[in-house]
Amino acid sequence: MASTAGTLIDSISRRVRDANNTAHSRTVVRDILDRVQVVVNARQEYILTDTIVTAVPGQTLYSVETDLGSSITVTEVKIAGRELDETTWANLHRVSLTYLTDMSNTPGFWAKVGRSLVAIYPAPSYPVDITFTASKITTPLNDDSIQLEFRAEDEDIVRELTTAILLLRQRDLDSLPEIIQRMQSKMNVQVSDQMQRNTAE
Amino acid sequence: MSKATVLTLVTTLSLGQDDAAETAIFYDEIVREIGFLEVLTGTETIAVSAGTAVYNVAPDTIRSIEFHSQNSGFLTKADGKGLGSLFGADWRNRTGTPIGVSMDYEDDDSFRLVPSPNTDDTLTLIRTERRDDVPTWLELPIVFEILSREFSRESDHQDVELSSASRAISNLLFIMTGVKENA
Repeated sequence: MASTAGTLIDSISRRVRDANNTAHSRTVVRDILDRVQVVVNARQEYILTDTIVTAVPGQTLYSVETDLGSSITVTEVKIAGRELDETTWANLHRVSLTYLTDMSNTPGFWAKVGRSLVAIYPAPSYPVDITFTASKITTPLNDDSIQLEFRAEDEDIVRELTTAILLLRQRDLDSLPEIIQRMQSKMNVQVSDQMQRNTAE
Repeated sequence: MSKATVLTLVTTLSLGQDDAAETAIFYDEIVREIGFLEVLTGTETIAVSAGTAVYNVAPDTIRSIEFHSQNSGFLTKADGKGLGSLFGADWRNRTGTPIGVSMDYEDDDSFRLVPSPNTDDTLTLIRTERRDDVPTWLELPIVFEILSREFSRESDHQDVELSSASRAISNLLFIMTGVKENA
């Protein structure tokens, strides 16, 4: 994705009829664009980052926020180049009621424990490097020159969502239901009937 | 991102019409509601002393999900009735290696190991937590949920249409981030 934040800010500002950024300063638009980009990557899991953590012997659980800094959702785990199989938290119980204290030289599985923890099972018994691959919190858009981080085909989603938020901010609500409907279909997201009614009201 | 930054964005998007005292309360409410889902998970380590059965969880715990004993592994959560059928009517007075946890008959923040431990131990509690610094990917959905609540309540700036639109965006963002499921 080659666009910079500035290019998309220009385009979105024109779309909400605020080409000179009178109603929404560039800083406000950039801030919203920054957060939208993060949410879109949380959904699409396209922009990834690797974090290497040296295992603490016997430690099963690792914190996404504390140990894996800029990660959103872990998608793959490797130890010494070997990919671990993903399993579920519930499966860890079925495998062993002592899953939190079991240890091995050759851990075989990883599982998400809620959104903020990742389990390595069995826990490594020595301080080996674990590589966590995860969707990343995209680079903060601190100025207009920062490159955006999403696939070219996701640009419409980022543009539409940022536009919807700016329209809401300027209390221009008439076109919102249609924009939200389009985003739902592009992302294969289905909001409940009640939510739809709320939007249409 | 800190609670203060979330609330600043609420003010930016509401064009300053929000009541900061109320939106701060909504933030706490929403984080607490998210705490009942398995999203903001964390752990707490609790030292167990032989002869002491009742312990407290940390005050920022929203939901205690799993207790694991260093000595005996996963501890089953059970109510008084279940424990009574396992250990008999005097289950509170039994001692041994804990195999269960009762959260009944105690206050919200405490739990009882059953049987009462006869050796020292260390527990790991997997829980959901109340936080003033939610992950970055969660901030935008929370901002719109706050806007929805702020503009739906009775006030001099009540705006049902804006509230509904904010709710629609909030729902979309919660689904995109995987906090809520597709309908």
